[in-house]
Amino acid sequence: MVAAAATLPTDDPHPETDGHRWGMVIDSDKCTGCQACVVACQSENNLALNEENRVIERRAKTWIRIERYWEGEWPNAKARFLPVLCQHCGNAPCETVCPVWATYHNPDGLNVQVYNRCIGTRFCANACPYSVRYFNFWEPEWPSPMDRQLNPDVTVRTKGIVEKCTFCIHRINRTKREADRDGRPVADGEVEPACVQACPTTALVFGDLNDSDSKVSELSNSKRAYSLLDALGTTPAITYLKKVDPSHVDEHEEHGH
Amino acid sequence: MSGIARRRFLTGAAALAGGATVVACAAPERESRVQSFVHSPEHTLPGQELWFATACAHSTGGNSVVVRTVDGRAKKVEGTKGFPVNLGKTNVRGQAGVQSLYNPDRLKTPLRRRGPRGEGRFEAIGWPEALDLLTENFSSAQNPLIVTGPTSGTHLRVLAEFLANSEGRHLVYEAQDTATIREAARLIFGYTRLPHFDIANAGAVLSFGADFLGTWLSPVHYSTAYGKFREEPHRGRLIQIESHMSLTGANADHWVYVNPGQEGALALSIAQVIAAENLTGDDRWFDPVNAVGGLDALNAYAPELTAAQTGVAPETVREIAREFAGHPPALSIAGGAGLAQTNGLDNAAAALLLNRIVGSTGAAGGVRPNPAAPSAVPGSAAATPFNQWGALSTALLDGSETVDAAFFYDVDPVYGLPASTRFADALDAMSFVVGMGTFLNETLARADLVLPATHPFEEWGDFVADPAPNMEVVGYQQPVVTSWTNARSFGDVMLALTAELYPDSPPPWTTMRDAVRDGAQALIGQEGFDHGWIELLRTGGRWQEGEGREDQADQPDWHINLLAEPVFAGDTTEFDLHLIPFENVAFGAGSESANPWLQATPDPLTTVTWTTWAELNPATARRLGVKRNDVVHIDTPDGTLRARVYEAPVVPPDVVAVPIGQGREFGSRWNVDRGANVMQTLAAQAVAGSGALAWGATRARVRPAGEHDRLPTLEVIEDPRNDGEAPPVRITSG
Repeated sequence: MVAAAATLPTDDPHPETDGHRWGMVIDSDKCTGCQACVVACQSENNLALNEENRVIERRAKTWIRIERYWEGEWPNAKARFLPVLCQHCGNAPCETVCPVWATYHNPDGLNVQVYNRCIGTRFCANACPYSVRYFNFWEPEWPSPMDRQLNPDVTVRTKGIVEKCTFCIHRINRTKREADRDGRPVADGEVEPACVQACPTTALVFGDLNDSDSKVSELSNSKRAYSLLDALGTTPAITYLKKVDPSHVDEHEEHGH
Repeated sequence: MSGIARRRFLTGAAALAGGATVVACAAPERESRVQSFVHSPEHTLPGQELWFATACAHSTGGNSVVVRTVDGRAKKVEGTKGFPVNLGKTNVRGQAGVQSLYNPDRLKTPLRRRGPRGEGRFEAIGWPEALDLLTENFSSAQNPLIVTGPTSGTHLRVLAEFLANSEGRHLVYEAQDTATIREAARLIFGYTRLPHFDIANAGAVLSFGADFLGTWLSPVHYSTAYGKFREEPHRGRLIQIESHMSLTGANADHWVYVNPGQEGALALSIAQVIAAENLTGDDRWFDPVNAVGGLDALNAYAPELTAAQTGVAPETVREIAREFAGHPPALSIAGGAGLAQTNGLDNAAAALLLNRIVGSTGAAGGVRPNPAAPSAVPGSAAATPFNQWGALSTALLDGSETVDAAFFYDVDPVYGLPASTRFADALDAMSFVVGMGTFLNETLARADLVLPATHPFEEWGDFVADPAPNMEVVGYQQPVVTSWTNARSFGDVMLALTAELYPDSPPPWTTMRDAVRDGAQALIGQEGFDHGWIELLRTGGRWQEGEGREDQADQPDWHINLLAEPVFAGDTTEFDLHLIPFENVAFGAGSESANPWLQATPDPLTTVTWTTWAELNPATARRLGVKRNDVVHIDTPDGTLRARVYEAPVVPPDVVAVPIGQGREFGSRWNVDRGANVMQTLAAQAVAGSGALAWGATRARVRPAGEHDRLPTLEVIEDPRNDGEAPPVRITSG
């Protein structure tokens, strides 16, 4: 259910709502870079196969990807992992550039893509500073009988439109419907997007930022919290927690900081 | 393999693909038959999802999963909540399970060999004919051989029925030997079963090459433990010591390079510092040190004396020792290339000895003995280490041993054993070979009869978790969908074969389901069994404290003097680099490479997909005159392979690291003729004392091939040769 007014851009990144404001916390200290979230997302959301030439052409689609950064040189080089997905920004650059309002902010704080409105200008993908919007250059294909694994709750996107992470909105809606049916609020942790469900180290935590008691609210107030490309003022719904470097902690402790 | 032989193989593959197409037309029709709702199963409503708990019974460690099905089709895999091994979680392989299930290139019907062995030409036949062929050949066999992957539970009871009547034997082939860590645990602790390494509750984990977040023993379990290990405010410290950075190494607080094969010397150096500085604060280190040779023997490994040998500076060794012993409970584990050396068993023993030295045994955060498997459901069968496969191969080739009928199920030793073992030729010396699996592979392609096996989501089974998570865990596997192929389960085929061959003493069950149910009845008792059986299937299995935990041996059965220098195949002047193969996080040693999701899963460190690459330090690459995307030949004393260069600053300068898992000639459209099989180029050396393959003990040289080919990576790095011209882009499909 989407109110028409909610499709209009607003200056307030987090307008007051009675409902939910879904958000995620990603703890870099727990993320091992194992890729379980990546395949869980592909399985849940009917992402097309990323054949070798698609990867080479930089046209592979992964709604969540693990970016790896090298730090330093041998023998002190390190690898760092950063899961990147749609940040569901409060001030989303992608929303203001779409000429047909195919992308908009819904009342639950999600950045939503309406596939059958999208006309494929790719303005949104160009405007997104996180490069998490993917254009369908081809019709997706699943050689039979692989099509049997397709999730009936998620639309298969056609050639010529842009797609991206939905925070597994179908899971959110289902949980909300079940809670409504039972006459109770949605419990903290009850909604689990596929990536969060799969994560073996619980590096990904999802919940309602409007609920001050939720785990995600608690973690997003951590001293280690930061937003990706914070200076852009996009006010993402995803908060990252910095990786802990014990040698720095010890140094600080030793020096009384 | 010569060019001619390779062409013959490809011809065979093409012929097979053609045959398979014919079959594919028939099976889906059967499965997709329109059926009146009146006749549909009671619990099925159109469009309503159903979740079934099941398992990939032979997965490493033993994870239970729930599969979401809608209208009889599997849609999604998740971990079974509460199941103590994986605690509701999965890894990348578990998530990709549905794509192996619905892979169009699965084996769909029995195939009979046409033409000479090794050509890989087959014709499709029906099950009655296949079973006749099987029975006919096994009835006359004097010493049938059954080869499976690591297995436990009812499969072993079914096999026991066959073996009790025949003169046959069952061998277990592990794609990556666990013989060394098992033997080291026996030497140091006296445990005959793999113990529980309690990472979740450790204050510090010192890992000698054990990639427990990626591929070591029970990676999903250890990953869940790692999540707890990193919880504030008692965040644990992880120190990783290895010769090639693994996924676990990339996540370590302190990563230290050690010269290949010197892990044991470094472990003893750390022990020496702990003793010399009395870092435990008491004399708990004294007895274990005394038992393995005493302080005098240990002092020979003082950091200053081992620095040149290990490549680790004395001050770094002291830092490690202080960090390790200073954050109790401190846990030391070992795996990876350090154990795959000729002296790997002693490297592992020295690493595990550290647990006794700091007193981290038998308690939370340390090494804890696991309970025995319940009597009703057998625990893991002992695996056959590499040296025995080598001996079998030699005996078959020189004629001192004959095998008149062999049955290979879900294994691929022809792919996984070094070419110098000549196992493919040994297979050809066997009179009759049956291969069973979900996909054709290098071993099955040489069989006389190929049988299509059901996917784990289509069959009954059970397993005992190994290593157990500090409790007795039995997992259950049930079919969640009807097979879309004409496959059968291995258990059902073995029961049918046994009943046919030995009508006077047939097995007590006719189907695998009956056998699994019978074992469950013995496990939970007769009373209220119907309810208990449903609960087993609903929850994924049974777990409890368990019995039969072994007492730790009074003293380690090992001595410092046993630690030998590693021996490498290949002269250092001719082969200037260490070749370090490593398991791919996505498809391990190659068994899952037919799966396109897993092929497209970026390697976590390099982000490479779909192919084989050669990791080189940028300085080494410069010295060799190669850059990223250049094709190189990697020569070893026993073979050569081609790969594309990937430069990474974490790769040691004297190492070339190559992922295992590609280079198949048989499989699916997604893994055939892709990359290279590094295992084939390794020298056939064994780990002294355990017999495992010393896959980290081969030296290599890297030669430019004069070609370049862009690596399919997730990361965007400009090709150094790119002069600004945009890369070619194809925008149409097909």
